[in-house]
Amino acid sequence: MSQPSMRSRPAAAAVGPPLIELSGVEKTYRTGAIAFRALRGVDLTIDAGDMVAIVGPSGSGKSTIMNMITGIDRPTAGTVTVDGLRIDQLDEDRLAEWRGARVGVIFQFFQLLPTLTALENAMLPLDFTRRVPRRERAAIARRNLELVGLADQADRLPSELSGGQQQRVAIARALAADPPLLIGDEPTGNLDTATAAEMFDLLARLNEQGSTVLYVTHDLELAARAQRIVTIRDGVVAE
Amino acid sequence: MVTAAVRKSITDLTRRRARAAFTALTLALAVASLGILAVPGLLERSMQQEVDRTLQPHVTLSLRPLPLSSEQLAALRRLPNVAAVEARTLLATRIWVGERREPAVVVGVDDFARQHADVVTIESGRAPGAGAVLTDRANEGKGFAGATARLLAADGGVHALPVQGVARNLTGGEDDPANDWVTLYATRATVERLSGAEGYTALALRLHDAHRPAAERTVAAVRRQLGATTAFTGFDDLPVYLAPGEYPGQENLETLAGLLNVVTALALLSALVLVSSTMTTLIGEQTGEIAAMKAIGARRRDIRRMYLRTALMLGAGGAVAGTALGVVLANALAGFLASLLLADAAFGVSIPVVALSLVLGTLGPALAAVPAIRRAARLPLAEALSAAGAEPGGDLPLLRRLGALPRTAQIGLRAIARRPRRSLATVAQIALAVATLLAMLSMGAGVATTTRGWFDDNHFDIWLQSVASEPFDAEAAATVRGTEGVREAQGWVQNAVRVGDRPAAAWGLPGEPWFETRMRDGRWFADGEERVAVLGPTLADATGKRVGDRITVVTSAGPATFRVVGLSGNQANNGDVVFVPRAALQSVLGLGDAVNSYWIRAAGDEHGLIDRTTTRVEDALAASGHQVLSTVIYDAREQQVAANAALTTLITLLGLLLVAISMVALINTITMSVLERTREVGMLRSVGARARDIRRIFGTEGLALALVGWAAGVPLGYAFARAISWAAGEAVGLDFVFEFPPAFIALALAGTVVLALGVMIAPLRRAANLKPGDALRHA
Repeated sequence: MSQPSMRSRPAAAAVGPPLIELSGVEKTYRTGAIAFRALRGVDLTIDAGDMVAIVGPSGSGKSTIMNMITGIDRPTAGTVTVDGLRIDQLDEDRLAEWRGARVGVIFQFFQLLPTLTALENAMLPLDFTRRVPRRERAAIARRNLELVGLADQADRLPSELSGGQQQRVAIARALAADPPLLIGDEPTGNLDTATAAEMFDLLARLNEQGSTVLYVTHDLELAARAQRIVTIRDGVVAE
Repeated sequence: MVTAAVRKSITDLTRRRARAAFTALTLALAVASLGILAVPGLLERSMQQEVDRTLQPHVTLSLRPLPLSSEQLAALRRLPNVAAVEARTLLATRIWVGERREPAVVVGVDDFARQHADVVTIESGRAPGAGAVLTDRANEGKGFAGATARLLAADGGVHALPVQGVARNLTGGEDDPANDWVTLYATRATVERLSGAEGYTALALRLHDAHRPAAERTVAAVRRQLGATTAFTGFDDLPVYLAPGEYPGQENLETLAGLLNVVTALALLSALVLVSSTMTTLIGEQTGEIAAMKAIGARRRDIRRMYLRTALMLGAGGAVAGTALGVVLANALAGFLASLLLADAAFGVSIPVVALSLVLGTLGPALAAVPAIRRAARLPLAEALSAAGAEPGGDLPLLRRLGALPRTAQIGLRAIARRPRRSLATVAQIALAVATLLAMLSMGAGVATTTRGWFDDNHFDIWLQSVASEPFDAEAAATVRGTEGVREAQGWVQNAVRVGDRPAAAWGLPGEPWFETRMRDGRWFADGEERVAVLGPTLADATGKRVGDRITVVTSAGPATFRVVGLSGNQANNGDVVFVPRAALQSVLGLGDAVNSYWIRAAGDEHGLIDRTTTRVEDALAASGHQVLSTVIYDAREQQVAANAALTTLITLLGLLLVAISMVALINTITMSVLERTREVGMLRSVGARARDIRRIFGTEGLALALVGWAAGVPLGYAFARAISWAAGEAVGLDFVFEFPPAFIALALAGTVVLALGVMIAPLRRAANLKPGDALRHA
């Protein structure tokens, strides 16, 4: 059986401009009259091929940084450049297209569509980006499910899968468009220890095969497996 | 200080202000529609005020022109039970409207300043002097006001009369689309000069006791008085009675009000389904909170009370706003309906309907919410504590076999199965509205086809009727037959009669009348037969008379009994007719050989020729002192078709309005779907979905629900249409042709799709505009 294309990508060398560059990023959330400064001027660069763990106490701004890098949220001030593109300047639809093609996002609570099967969930980014001919999308999704060890569960609905299996489907979905950047927001936070370790092995393997992997975690043991740990405290990088 | 539980009930509404306001608004609209129930009462009150103000006559008697002196009128006023007498002189003639000639009636009033009954109210201008007229309010748009009316006089001359103002009369302006009369008012002297005949043609009587037996005794006394002191030979038609509490045009308006009541019931039903689904959603969203409350000691009844209070508050808001709106709606509708009768409606409030609106509006939502509240109270604690996000819902295997569709469409379609009850309720509401639309369209088309059918049953071109004058004698017959353009003419006799208590028409016809007899049973009669009758379908159904039975018909000259020899399906006079041999009716009415109607066949089919022939016959008969009403069949048919088209358009718009109201359910469903699946939208945006992908997902869901509603509405609509056709036929006694063409189904489909797409714009925009970060943080 042929392997997913990601496996054949050579590991990126840490030369040239960084893959991710945050410069003076601030983010303020407003709820009614109350303003909360989640980020207070973050400067951060991450090179292609890195495996980076972002750690910090609750409310420190870890997830907000992830949202800045994926374009899920926009900075109140500062710039966000990913893969040479100023994503803070893109409109919502261009951001969505960019994410579908260049970023794989893995959520803590999986966020699978309950009415779609595992295979269909794993195909979603391909359906949205339309960069791959329709007849090839299922084959790619199936290969990604095989990669995460769920080939035999392809036709099951999320409600018929365990938490660990659902997160594997979410990873397969993140790999759909063969993105150079994988981002996980507490990707193992909702799994038991054994399953979490298994998931982490998978992410590490993907990094070895060339993907840049960023993940937020509370688990210092898992964070220690990254090449680099970025600590966030009170909205600033305390590395 | 309110308790925490009460605070929660309040904040449950305020935390989603838009949704609470939206639900309350929907409820308010439904409660407002209850205001329609007040319309008959408001109309009744307004019309009674109008009846009292304009001194509507309790009895109206038709005469051939009869001169009466002021002493003779005074003698009539002194008769027992007579409160007032107003004598009128009517002239049926033709008037020029632009270059066309239209039928007109000029009402001659003795003294505009002192009217004793059937008051003609001057709205603008002044009482007409000699040789001048007032135009009725109903003639607005015909360009008479402030201009000159060109009228055809009995001697064939054309008189140009200045129009000195606008007046109205409760019965004068009644509009019949097939006989579009132009009503004018003048002094009696002006009318007599135009008609060339002296005397009154109508007596309007106000009575002390207007109940039927007393009124009939008074009519008999008037008959005796006139017979003893004047040249009176008999009334020209049956007396028209107006019982206490009645008003002219009442029956038609009550039928219309009945139809509106059906609309009200449907609107209310729709709103309650909507409230039920809203409460289900509200409670569904708060599963976690219910669990938390139970975990800290809330009992089932505490939960029940909490949400009942929320439903009651929601209901109270909708009820108060809806009741106020209902008062406005009811008065607007009553005003509109009264204007059809040329009356003004006074503002009024129906206390019982207001009370009903408040009670039903407040309690209805609470009752509708009961199933959801019961589920909330019984929710197992462990299950409730583990609930998160939108329910995955049922899995419909059919929806998993949609591989050929775009992914966005698949997601949208499968979402329908996630909330099967809510989807079903939405589909049911749309289906109900589509079915009502189809039934209304079917009824409109049935009426149109039935009416066209009646015109097509007639094998003549012109129908001439004698109005308020002597019947057509041999000389008139010779005039008609000798007029250029007349190929042949068939004379016959008609008279307003009563069969039992039922008003009907008697038509004295030849053995081979120029229309389709459409015999259903028995036979038509032959010339020379006496005292035999064929019954029209409505009269046969109403009286239960069959072939071989005897039937007593009360004519203006007294009762006469006939043997029923046949039952006809012809819809003349809406089927409320007894056909008898011409000679027999002439004998009963004492007309000798005279007739009062002619059917004329023109020398050709060309419309211009028929029009010219009509004008010539009218002029020739007018020159010999005959006032006639002429109906040109092709023209009347066209007018009727146009009137039916207008009616059908109105029905279509009303039906589409119902569908639009039902679309509120669709708005609710899609809005709720967007709310419930906000985090999903965030995820979809995170994996590459663009705004249009999100729109397609929710748009597919809504459109699919609308289409399923339409599909379910078609067979339901067919059943409704069959039932309405049957019920309408029973009510008015007509055999309606049943119409249910595919074009109606297509129209309903187009309406459903267009409205669905229209109403979904706002919720779809809301979904598409969600920022991924905000959506993912949505609780």
